[in-house]
Amino acid sequence: MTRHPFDPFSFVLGFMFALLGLYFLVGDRTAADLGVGWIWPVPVLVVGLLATLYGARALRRSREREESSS
Amino acid sequence: MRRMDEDRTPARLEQRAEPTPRRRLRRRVHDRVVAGVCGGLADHFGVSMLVPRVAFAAAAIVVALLFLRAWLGFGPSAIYYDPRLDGLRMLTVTASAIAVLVYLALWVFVPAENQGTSAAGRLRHRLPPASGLRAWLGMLSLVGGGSVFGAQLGLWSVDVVWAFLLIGIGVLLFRRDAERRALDGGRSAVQPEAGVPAWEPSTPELPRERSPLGWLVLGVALLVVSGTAILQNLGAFELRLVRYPALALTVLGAGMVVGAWAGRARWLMLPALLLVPVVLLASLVRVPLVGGVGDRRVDPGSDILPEYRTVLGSIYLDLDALRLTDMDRTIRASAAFGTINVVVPFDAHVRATGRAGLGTVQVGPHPLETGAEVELDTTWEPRFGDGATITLDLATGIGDIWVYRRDPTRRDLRELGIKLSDRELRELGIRPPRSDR
Repeated sequence: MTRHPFDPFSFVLGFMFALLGLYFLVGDRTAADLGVGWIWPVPVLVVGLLATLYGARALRRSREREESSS
Repeated sequence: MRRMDEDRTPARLEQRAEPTPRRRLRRRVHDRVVAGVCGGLADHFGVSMLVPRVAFAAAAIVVALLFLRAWLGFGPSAIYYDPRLDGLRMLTVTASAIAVLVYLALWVFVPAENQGTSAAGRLRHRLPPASGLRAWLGMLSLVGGGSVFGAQLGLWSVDVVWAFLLIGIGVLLFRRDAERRALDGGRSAVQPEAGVPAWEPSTPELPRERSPLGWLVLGVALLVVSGTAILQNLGAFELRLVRYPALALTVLGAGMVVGAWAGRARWLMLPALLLVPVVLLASLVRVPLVGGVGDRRVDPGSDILPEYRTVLGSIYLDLDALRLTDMDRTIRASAAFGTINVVVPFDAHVRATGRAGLGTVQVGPHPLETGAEVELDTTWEPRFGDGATITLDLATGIGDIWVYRRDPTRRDLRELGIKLSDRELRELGIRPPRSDR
């Protein structure tokens, strides 16, 4: 496997999946313990985080393009 | 930062730099998960591939959950129900079904970027020569006739649909693997038909190293889960159902985290996303996974056992054999995925404990409890007679629990020497005797 520049998309999603898996792997928990109040904000948070990262990256790219053209 | 799953042909990079006319809609051959529809839409509309992928994946999850619910035979009461959300639920289901159909239609009618015609077009070329309209009408009639024939043979049951779906996924994976190998070898596995112009890329694709990380992580996840199951079967430990998908989800998540620095495994997001609802539902199953698969049924003439278990199926216990007796009984029943219905005799004293991971519990006139982690511990005294005491210990993982009482018959009332008014008799479904009128 070759190394490559850090990929935030894989990192954020992977971290969330691993965290969710561990939450149910360790201890005697159920989805009811999470509560409705927690179930919806977390995916929204992840999507928001990804959208922000994606936007920031696109912004940086466009700036780099402008700098290289000028 | 470098975008990983995007195209990297010089032509496309050039397209990004300068505004160019919108690309013709084609399914992607590279960087695809299923049929390349999302990639094609992203190229066509100039948006991130994440947008159509997330939308179609969400729709597929909703449709899969609907099928799962129909397959396991749960009614609307088995899930959290709020009438205020009816409209939203209907909208979600309709939009998801339409999205899945649109995906399938695009798969069939949109050509791949290395082919001149779509799957539907190739199929039409293989059919005997006919005018366009006649050929399509012929195909429509074939599909319609096949559907009606399948319905007559009872092939449209949810079980059969599931089976076809799984076979289809298997065939798809094999085909994709074969196509990928052929593409890596420098040519497409699917050759264009004679006389059909094939689409040829104007610029050569840049060579891209295929990362083994995704398959490695998937393999490790499957090995870990199956190994754990074998150890549990050997009696090494006792695990709840949720541990298995949670274990797989943890491995997939860890693999994606590794993929943030080395290797490429973004596609692991899809199996991980599909696992999330499975983990949430499985976490609600606390009953022992024993008893095999299938329904358990006790009719009035059958022997009554102290225990009934099933993993997948329903349990129906008609305890009328205990009517007008003083044979006290304790009965335990559990269904990991399925409902439990118990009918007690009219004269029985009932002590019932019902637990449902996700569903409804109702014992006689007591208010029903619905939702996640529902538990009810109650007694129910008879209106007539003084019969056996029946202690019920009932549990479901995902499914409802209902306990009813059978009404006494005219003969039962006569045996007990109970006289009721005409109105009370009618309430019990007994026609009042002529002499009483």
